[in-house]
Amino acid sequence: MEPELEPPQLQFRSAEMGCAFDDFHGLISTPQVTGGSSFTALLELAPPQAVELLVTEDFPAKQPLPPPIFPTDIGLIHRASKFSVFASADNSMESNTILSVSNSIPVKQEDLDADSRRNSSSPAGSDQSLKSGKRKEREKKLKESNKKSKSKAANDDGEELPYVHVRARRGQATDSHSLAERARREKINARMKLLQELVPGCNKISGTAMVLDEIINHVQALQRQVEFLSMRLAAVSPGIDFDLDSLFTVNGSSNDNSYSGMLAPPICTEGQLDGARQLQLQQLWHCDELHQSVWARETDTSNFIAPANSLLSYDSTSANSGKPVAPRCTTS
Amino acid sequence: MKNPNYPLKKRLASRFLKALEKIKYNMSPSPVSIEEKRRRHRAVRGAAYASMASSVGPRRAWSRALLRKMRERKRARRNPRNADTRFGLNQLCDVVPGGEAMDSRSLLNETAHYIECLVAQVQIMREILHSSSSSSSTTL
Repeated sequence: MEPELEPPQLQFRSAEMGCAFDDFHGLISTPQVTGGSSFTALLELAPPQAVELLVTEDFPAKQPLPPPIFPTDIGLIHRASKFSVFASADNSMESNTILSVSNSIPVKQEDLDADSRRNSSSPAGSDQSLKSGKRKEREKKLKESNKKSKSKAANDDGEELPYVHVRARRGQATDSHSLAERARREKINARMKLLQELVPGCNKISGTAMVLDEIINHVQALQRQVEFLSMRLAAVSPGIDFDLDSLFTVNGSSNDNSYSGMLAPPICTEGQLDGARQLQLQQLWHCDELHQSVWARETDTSNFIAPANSLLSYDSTSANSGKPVAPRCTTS
Repeated sequence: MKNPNYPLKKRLASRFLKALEKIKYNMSPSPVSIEEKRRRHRAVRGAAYASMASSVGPRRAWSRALLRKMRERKRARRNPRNADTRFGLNQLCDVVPGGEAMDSRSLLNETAHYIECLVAQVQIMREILHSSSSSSSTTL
């Protein structure tokens, strides 16, 4: 059974990317539009047989149903059938056949039971929650994010059903809106954790707002560094041979995360820095010192200030003086 | 979190160096006026961001936004945001290029990648300065 089920699942996964939510909604909201005949034709079973399949709420893949014709809709149909069975009082023929089509997929028993429990608790709002849940599941798979979900292992295991439940934790509201909100917030919190790892010193901070501030400061600081370094590069004489740089960058790429400790030594350039440029440099440094919290965490606080002084001390007239001023800072 | 940045840095370095060489050729060796220096500064900074965006290519939203800005095309239409609040991300979308047209989650994704590229770019620029100052004869 399983080998023949692999292709439909794979197809489902790949086709998932192209499936639009509109199709899903259209499928759910107006099942009668498609007509029951199409699904029974899908099944190649007579409707009464389909109903018979439905009656037994036990869903192990007992009967080898013919492979579904529209594999892309299997997951949709499956989930649609789940809540349509419980939510709607009038089980139309289409939903019955939909449910029976889903039998071909090995169903995780506990998921279904838990789903039935969850659905029975809030039948009215289950539609919305499951719809949004479906969207969330797709987005989760698309984004490949790891969530706090019970069947997360199912995601990794290729043979299980490839969807994820968002469980309502104990004591929390099971309202459809709050479920969607919580899932979205969880995703965003996971992203924020990743960002925290990127930004140095952000792990100790608690609270979303402060972390966001840190991230923004970090990005702005990096942009200021680019600005400043581009200024210095522009001041460098164009006579420099850049082929050497390629060698250096190849070697220097092994220094990872060393930007916080490393600082380029002041340029002993043949270029001339006049007073205006020095003032600009000073302003740059003053801006940086305002963000003390950011700089203090990085080890280059003192290093940044030192070259500023050294640059200011350059003579504008001496082209080749090349005063070896501030001490060279090594990479940490 | 991502695979090692080595290929990214190589791409960044090669593009940025090429752009720098082009700038150096076009500019006079020792600019006198302040305006010229400012122009060179802007050119180098633009080259830095341009090399970042072109080495990342259209894979990322922020690089796409940067490329768009550089080619002076009309910005993309705003995508409908999520109905929920932006969790204070309004400042972030001002900082990251093309941030207004994203929803919260992709904005955070873009920020992460943008930070990585910025870090790599800064490293490269520092190394260039390192090597250029070390290769000049007047240093220690």
